[in-house]
Amino acid sequence: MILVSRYYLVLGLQILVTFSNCSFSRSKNPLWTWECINEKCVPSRPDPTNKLQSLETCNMLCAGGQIWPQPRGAISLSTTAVPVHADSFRLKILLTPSRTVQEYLQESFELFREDVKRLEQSAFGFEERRSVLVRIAINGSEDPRMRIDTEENYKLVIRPNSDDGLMLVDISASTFCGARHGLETLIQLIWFDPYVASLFMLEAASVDDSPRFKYRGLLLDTARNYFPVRDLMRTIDGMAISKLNTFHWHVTDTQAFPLQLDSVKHLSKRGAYSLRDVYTKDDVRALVHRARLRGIRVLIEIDVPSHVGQTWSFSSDSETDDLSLCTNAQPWSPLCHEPPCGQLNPRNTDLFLLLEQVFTEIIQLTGVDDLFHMGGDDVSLECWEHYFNDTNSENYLIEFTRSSLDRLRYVNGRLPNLTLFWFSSISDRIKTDLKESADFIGLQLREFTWKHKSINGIRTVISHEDAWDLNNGMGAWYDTNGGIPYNSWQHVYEHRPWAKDVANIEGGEATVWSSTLSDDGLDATVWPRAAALAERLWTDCAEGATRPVHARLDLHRSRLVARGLKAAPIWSMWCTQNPYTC
Amino acid sequence: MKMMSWGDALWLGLTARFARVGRLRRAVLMLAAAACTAAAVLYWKQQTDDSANRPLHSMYSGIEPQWSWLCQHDRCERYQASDTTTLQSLQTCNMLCASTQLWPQPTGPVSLASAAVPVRSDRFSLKVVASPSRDVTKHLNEAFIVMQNHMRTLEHGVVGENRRSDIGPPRDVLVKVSVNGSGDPRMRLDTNESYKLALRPSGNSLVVDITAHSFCGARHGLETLLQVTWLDPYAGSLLILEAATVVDAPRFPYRGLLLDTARNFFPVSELLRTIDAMAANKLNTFHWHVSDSQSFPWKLDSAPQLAQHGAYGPGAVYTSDDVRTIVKYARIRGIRVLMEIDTPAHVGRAFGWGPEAGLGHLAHCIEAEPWSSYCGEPPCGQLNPRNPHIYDLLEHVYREIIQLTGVDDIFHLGGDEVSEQCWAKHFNDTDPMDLWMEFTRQAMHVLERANGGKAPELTLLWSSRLTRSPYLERLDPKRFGVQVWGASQWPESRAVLDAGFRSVISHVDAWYLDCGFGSWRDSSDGHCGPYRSWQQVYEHRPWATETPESAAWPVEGGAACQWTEQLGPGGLDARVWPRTAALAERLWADRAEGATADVYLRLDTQRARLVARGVRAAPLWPRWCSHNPHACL
Repeated sequence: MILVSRYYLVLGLQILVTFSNCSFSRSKNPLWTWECINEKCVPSRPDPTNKLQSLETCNMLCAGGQIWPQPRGAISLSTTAVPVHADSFRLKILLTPSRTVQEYLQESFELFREDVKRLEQSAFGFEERRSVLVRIAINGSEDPRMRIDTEENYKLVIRPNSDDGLMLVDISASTFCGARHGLETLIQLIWFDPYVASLFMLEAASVDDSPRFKYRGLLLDTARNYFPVRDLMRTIDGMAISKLNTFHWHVTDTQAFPLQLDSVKHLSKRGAYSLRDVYTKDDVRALVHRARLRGIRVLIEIDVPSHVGQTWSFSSDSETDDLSLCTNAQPWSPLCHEPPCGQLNPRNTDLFLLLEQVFTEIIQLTGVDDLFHMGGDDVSLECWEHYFNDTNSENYLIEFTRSSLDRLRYVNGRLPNLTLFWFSSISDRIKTDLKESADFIGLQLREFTWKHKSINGIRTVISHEDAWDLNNGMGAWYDTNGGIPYNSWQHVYEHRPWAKDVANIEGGEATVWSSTLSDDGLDATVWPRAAALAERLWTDCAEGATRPVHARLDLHRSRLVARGLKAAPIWSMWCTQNPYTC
Repeated sequence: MKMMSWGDALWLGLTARFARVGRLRRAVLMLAAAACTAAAVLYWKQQTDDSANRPLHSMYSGIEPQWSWLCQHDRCERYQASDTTTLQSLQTCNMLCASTQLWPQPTGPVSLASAAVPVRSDRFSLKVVASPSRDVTKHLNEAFIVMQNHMRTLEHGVVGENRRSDIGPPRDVLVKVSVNGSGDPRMRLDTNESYKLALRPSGNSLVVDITAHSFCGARHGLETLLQVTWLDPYAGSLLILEAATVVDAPRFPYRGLLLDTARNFFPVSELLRTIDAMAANKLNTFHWHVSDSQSFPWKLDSAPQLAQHGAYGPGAVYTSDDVRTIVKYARIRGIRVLMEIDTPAHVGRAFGWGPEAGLGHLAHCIEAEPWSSYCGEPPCGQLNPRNPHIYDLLEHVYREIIQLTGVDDIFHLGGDEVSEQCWAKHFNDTDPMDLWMEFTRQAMHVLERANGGKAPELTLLWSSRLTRSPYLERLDPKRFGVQVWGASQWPESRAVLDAGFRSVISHVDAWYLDCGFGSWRDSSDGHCGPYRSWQQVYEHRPWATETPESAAWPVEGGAACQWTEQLGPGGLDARVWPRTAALAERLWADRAEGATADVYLRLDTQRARLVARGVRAAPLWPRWCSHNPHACL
C-alpha cells in the first residue's frame, strides 16, 4: 500500500526508466517540471537526474481541494494518485428507489464514461491500470427530475480495496440529481497527465456536499440570434460540470420565434429566421433528455405579453382583434424597449386559448411542472394606452397576469410550486391584486430592487444586471459606445446581495442575451464566468476572488476546455503555469 | 409533378404582379429589365390554396424558403414568402437594391448593375494579359485559385441538389488581369495598391478586366470581384452582378492587425484564418507580436534556445516551417507578415539561459518580485544592454525574421514599456534612459547588418518615454517610425507626429480590441476599458483635427491590437471581427462620415461574407435587424 502510493506520487523519469515500454516519448520533451513547494506548484527546468511532474498532476496533488464548486461539507483528499482508464470504471447500483432512477443512473454513468474517455483521448500509458467500481446508493425520491424540492446533497468516498487493488467509489445521495453531482465531483478527481500519457485518479477521497441555493440558473436567449442545438447541448454540459441546475431557455422574443409547437404551428412559421433555424420538438426532447441526465431542468420561457412580434400577428383583419398590437411600430421608441415592437392584446379572448395550448405543450415537452416562467418584462403601458385610449393600463397587465395564471392552473391541474415573472411595474401589487396566487409567484430581479418593501415576502431569483449579466459591456448595437461595464468573473463571483437576509431567495441566474452574440463568442462569453456564479450559488463562501480561487477557477477552466467548451482564459498561460505569481 | 420552365414561371409571375400590386412596380421593372437579358433573380410562386401543388414545393426538395425580400424605396423589405408572388433571397435583394455593398467602400468612382446572372466557380478562368515578372504571374495564378476556392466554399452552402435548373445556365467568366508596374509581388511600403475593375457581359459570357500597378493591387481587384459574387440560397447558385466598374485605391498605406501569440498560444490554423479574414477586408499588415515575457513560442533555427526556455510546452511552438507557411499564405493575399520580437523589455525566461551557456546574463529582472517595481505586468524581464552577446543574438534573430518573412523595408524593434527601475538596480552608474538610447542604437546597428548593411526604410518603435521629449529629439525621424499606442488625447501621442515621425496609429482608446474585459490579476486593476465597439473603432479619425499641423502629419496608417491575456483560440474570431473590418474601412476609405445607416448595412453584409468564409465573426445586432435592417436604424 505504501509502496503503491509512493510509486505513483512520483510520476516521471523514474517511471519512464522502469517502464520503458510505455513509449513515453510520445509527449515529446517536456520543457518544464513542477514541484510542490509550500502548497504551490513551482516550475523549473527538467533536470535529467530528477523526477518529472506535469502541471496537471502537481495541481491535483499539491494544494488539494481543486473541486469546483468548492464542496460545502467535510472534505479530505489524498495526495497520491493511481492510474486509471475510462474502460476500467464499472457501475454497481446498490440501492435505488425506482426503476426510472435506475435507468437514469445507468445512462448517466454512460455519459460519465464518455466524459472520462474524452479526457484520455491520447492516453496509452500504463499497463497496470486500476479497476474502479462505482457503487451508488439512492435512498430518497423516486423521481429523477430536478425539482424545486429535490435534495441535491451527496457523499462521495474513494478508497483502494487493500486485498485486490480494486478502487472503490461509493456515492450516496437522496436523489438521482444528488448522485449525479457525485459523479461530477468524481470526474474532477480524475485528470490526464500528458507526461505519462495516462489518466490518474486520487487514491482516496471523501467529500460531503450540498448546495447553498436550490435554483442555480443560466439564461440563454436564442431569439435575437439563433444557436444550433449542438451549442445548447454544449452549454448544458458546461452547466453540469459546474453543477448549475436550471437552463432558462429564453427561446422567443419579438425578433424571432424559433420553437416549433404542434399546437400553434403559425408561431414558428411566422417567427423563425428561416425554416432551418428552428427547434423541432425532437430537438427539444433531445435537449431535455440530455439535461435531465445532467441533473438540469430546462425552463422554457415564452415571454408574454411584451417581447412578442410579428410572430403573433396571424389572426384576424380588424385591428382591435389582433393578437398582437404595436407590431413593428415605427418610431419604436415610445412603444417598446428596443425594436421591433409588439405586445399581446389582452382584450382578445382567443389569446388565452392560445396561451393555454402553448403552456400545455411546454410542460409536456420539458416535464417541468413545478416551475414555470411567464416572462412579463418590459411591458409597454404606452402601447396599450395608445390602442385602448385608456390611461390605466396597468390594470390590463394585472388582468392579463391573472388570466394567464388561471390558464396555467387549469392546464397543469394546479399552479406550479413557483411561477416566475420578471420584475415589473405590477410587482408591488402581487400581494394585493394577485393575493390568491402570491405564494406561488416568484420574481426574477434584474435590478437591485429586492429590498423593496412591497415585494417583501415574495420569493425571488436574483439576476442583477450589474453583476450577473454576461453580455454587458460588449457594446449595445443601437448605441455607439461600449455601454455598461463588463462583469468580470471576479465581479460575478463577489456579488453577494443576500449578505444579511436570505429568506425567500430561491437562488440566482446569469443572463446571456444574444443581440451581438453567436456561436463563436458563446463559450468565451459564458465560461468561465457562469462557473464563477455556480460556486457563488453552490458554496457561497464569504470570501471573494482570492488567489486560491483564481487558481482553482483556472483549473476548472481547463476542465471545461478538456470537455469541449472553448472557455476564455482568465489570464495568460504563463500565469497558469505559475499560478501564484500573477 | 410538373415543373415550369424558368421563362414561363417568370412570365406568369410578372403578369400576375402587374395586375395586382402597383406599389411593387419599381422592383418589377428592375426585374423585368433583368429578364430581358435572361438574367433576373426573381422566382415566381403560384398563389393557390392547394399548397401541395405549388411549384415551389417541386423546386425545393429541402426546406422551403420562409421569407422573401423585395426592394422598395431603395430598401429591402421582408415579406412572408406565402404572402408574396415573388421570391427573392435577402442576399440577392441586398446586392441589387440601392447600396453598393462593397467593403471597404472604394475611394474612386463605382457603378454597379442592378441585375445579376448565374455563375459557377469552375467556369471562371484567368488570363494574365500583362505582367512585369514571372513571380507576379505566379502570384496572380495562386491568388486567382484562392478566389475560386472561396467561391467553391460558398457553393458548398447549397445543400444537396438544390440548384434550380430554371435560372439559366451559368455563364463563363473570363478574368483578364494586367499588372503594369512593379515586378515584386510583395506588399512593400511603396507598393501602389490601386486597381481598376470592369465587369461586363460579352456575348453569352462575362469579361472582367482588372488593371493594377502591382500584384497586390490586382489581388484587391479579385477581392472586389469576389464581393460582387454571392450565393443565392433560394436559387442554389452563385450569382454575379452583370456589370460593374470600380476604381479604387487606399487612403493609407499601412493597414494592420496585431495579434499577440505570447500571452496565450494560438495554433497556426487560427493565424491563417485571421490572415484570410484580413485579406477579405483589404488589410495589408499582419503584425505578429510573437513573443513577450510570458512566452517565446517561435523556435528559431539560429537560436533554438529561446523557445526551448521560453515556450509554454511542446504543443505551443511555431517552427520555421510554420512561419514560412504563414508568410506564403499571407503573401498571396497581399499581406506582409511583420514579426515583432519585443525588446529590450517584455522578455522573460526565454533569455534566461545565458549563464549556463557561458554568455553571462542576457537579461535581468526575470520574474522579479514584487513585479510592480520592475515591469508593467508580471512576469518581469529586461535585456542586459551591457552584455555584447545580446546584440549577436539579436542579429541572428533579426536576420532570421527578414529571411523568413521577406520583409526588409519595414521592421519592428518593439521598445515597449522599458522599466527604468530594473536597469537602475543593476547599473547604478548610468541613467537608464541613456542605456535605453544606447540599446536602441546598437539594435539598429545589428538590424542594418542583418539586413545586408542597409537600414530598413521604416523601423518602428512603440511609443514610450523614449519617444517623448527630450529623448525624441535624439532619434532620427528618417530611420525611425513610431507605433503610437497611447490614448489619442495624450499630448505625446501628437508630439511624435508634430515632430515628423512616420506613425502607425494604435490608440488604446479606440483600437485596442482587448479592452473592457476586466482585470486578470488578483492584485491590481491595471487594465483598459471599456470595450471599444465597432462604431467607436470606425469613427476614430485622429488625423482629422482642426490643428494646422495635422495636415502635415506623416500618418502611415493604423493597426488594431489584439492582446491576449484574456483570449484563447475559442472566441478569437468573435473578438476581432467585425471590429477590425470597421478599422479596415476607416484606413482604406477614410470617409468623413461615421457609422451611418449605410455603414451598418454594408458591414452586416461583410460580416455575413466573413461567416461564409469560415470566420465566425460576431453579429452586429439581432438577426431580425439583418432581416429588417431599416427598422433597426
